[in-house]
Amino acid sequence: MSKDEIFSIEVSRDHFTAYLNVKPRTKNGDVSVQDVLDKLRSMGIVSGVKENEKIQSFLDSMELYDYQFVVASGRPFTHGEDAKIIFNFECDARNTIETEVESLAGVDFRAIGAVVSVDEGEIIATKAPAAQGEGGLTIFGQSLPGEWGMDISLAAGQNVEISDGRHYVSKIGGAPFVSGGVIRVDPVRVIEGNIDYSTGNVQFAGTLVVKGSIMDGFDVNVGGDLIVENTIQMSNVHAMGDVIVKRGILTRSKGVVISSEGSVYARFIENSVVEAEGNVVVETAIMNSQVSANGSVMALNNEGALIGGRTLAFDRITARALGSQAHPKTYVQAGFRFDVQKKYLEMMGRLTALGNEIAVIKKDYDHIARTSNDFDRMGALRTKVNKLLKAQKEMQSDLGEIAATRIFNHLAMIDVQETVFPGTTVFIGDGKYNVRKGARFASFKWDSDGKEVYMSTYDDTGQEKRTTSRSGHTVLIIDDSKAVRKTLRLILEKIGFRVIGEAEDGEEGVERYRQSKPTLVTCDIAMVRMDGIETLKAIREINPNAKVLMISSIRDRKKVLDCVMAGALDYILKPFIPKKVIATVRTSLQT
Amino acid sequence: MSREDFFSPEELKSLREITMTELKDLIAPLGGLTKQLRREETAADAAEKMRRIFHTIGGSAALAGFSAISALGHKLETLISDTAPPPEKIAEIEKLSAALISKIQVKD
Repeated sequence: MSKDEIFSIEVSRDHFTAYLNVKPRTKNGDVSVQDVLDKLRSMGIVSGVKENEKIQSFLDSMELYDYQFVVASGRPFTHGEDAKIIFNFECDARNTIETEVESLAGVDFRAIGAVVSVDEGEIIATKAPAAQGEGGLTIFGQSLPGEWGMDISLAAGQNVEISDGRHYVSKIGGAPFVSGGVIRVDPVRVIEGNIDYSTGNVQFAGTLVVKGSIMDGFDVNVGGDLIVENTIQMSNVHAMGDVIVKRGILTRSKGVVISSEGSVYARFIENSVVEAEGNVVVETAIMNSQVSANGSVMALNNEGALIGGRTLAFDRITARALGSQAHPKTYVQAGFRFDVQKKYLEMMGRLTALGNEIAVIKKDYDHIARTSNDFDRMGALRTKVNKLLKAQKEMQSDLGEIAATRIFNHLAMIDVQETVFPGTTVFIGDGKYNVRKGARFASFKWDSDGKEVYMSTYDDTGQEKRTTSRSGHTVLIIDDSKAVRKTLRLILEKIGFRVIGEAEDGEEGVERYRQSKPTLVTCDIAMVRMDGIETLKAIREINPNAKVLMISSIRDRKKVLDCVMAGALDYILKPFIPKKVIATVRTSLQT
Repeated sequence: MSREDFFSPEELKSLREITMTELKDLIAPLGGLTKQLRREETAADAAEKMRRIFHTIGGSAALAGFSAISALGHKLETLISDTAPPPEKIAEIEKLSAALISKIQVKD
């Protein structure tokens, strides 16, 4: 047997290791150290070769050990240290809250909003650059350079300059802040007492510290953070940075707003309107307030609860409890940006008012038709309704534009660490869950498949249990065209409605309505057996409050007014423009 | 937001397929109805049925984005507005009906 048949040298892919493989049942003496060295040399392996004694020792004990031996080792290169920023001041607990939203139990709220002060010319941070690691050497004698560590970027913001390429120097005396990859220094103004008639309204470009309270009736506008040692009373407050209130926000008015382009931190919020572009974090409770955040709302420490009022967050709402034992009406919604939601609800409100105005006129019309048949008066009312219907369509178009910007965060959730009480209504997006029975350790999330909100709890064995609220809107579609029925179904299901039935003609439609009493009916105006207006009248005989939308082609729109006067809520024109259909349907449900 | 933005490609395909099936069902009786249009005793009834068919074709085709078929359907619906159209109009109706049928069959 030749030497090559008895042993071989295998090299790792990274060229840092060579293995001596010896066939099993090779007898001692069949392979010598010199055989191995010759083979290594012929392969060009010149570096990191084990000492002869070690090779000999392996060859002598092959019967006892595995038949593979590391005969040569290179020196791998190393990774250098990453760059880092060394801050020469203490960042407060807000950093912890930003990164560890799961539990605030360990966060000391008293440590939030401690104002650090730096002097003009002081080095407030230093960048330690990334380093290169040590070079390596392969078993073939090839040198490889060490790897560089990762760089880190921190831009110099307002009142900060970079010196020597690595020192961040403050240009003024003030308070340093790091946010969004930028380090800045805000001028700091300290008001030793309250903001009241002695100070008047306050406007300041930097960080404002109020050692007392902000009393009733003032406007405070701050370019940096606002730190209030006591409370905020009935005043309008706006900060470009964070708002930190060591005690509570207690404006007792829905007419003033506490708003922040950053986050709001407070011990409690009561009877107030608070808006934050970032998060709202409360140590104890939020009570009977309107709190909105484009980040998250958190009330986790102590008796952290959301009781009464309305709370809205784009990402997440986390609290120990929702509602209370007194079962106050508590509305909690996650999934929309509050600024967009505000515009949307305002427009919906205007449309609802317009819808109600049309309904009142229609009642008058019905009354006149039944009692006096005053055709002049009836004609005037029809004209008025026609005008209002046109205005309604324009507003619905505007609503459609707003709705297009109303992005729904499907991953939004509401998390209850202890109890959610009855009387609480939870929304994820537009999906609604009415809490009728208390539950513990519940989460509310959006089911993208079923297009509904569900509550997730755990039973005693640790199994997840999901329940849904049965309060979703249902729709019956009546149209002799399968294509129309399919298109409408797709549009309505995408926005979370349940289509509980379809009918090909008016007679079938009326029968299905009688059986299922859906929230809403869509009905084609022009059908062969029992046209739209007859179907509408038959449905309204079953239920005078039935919500019916007529589906019409542009050619049939003259019949629309007849249908509206006969009790239809509104109409949708074909071919369908999805956002207009959605706007019309949503408005109808508000009426 | 256009239909293409709102519906997925699979949904649009499904809508088109359903519409095509519906259009083909709708044009099936047109040949016989056109003949009935020429007979005095059946003209009014045939005209009403054809107007309804063209109205539905116009609407359904528009839903699926078949704009040429929709336009032809609506044109025929307007042409056939008389309860019993005169002979010269019937010829035009026949010609346009044939064009409509051909468009729908070719679309497959």
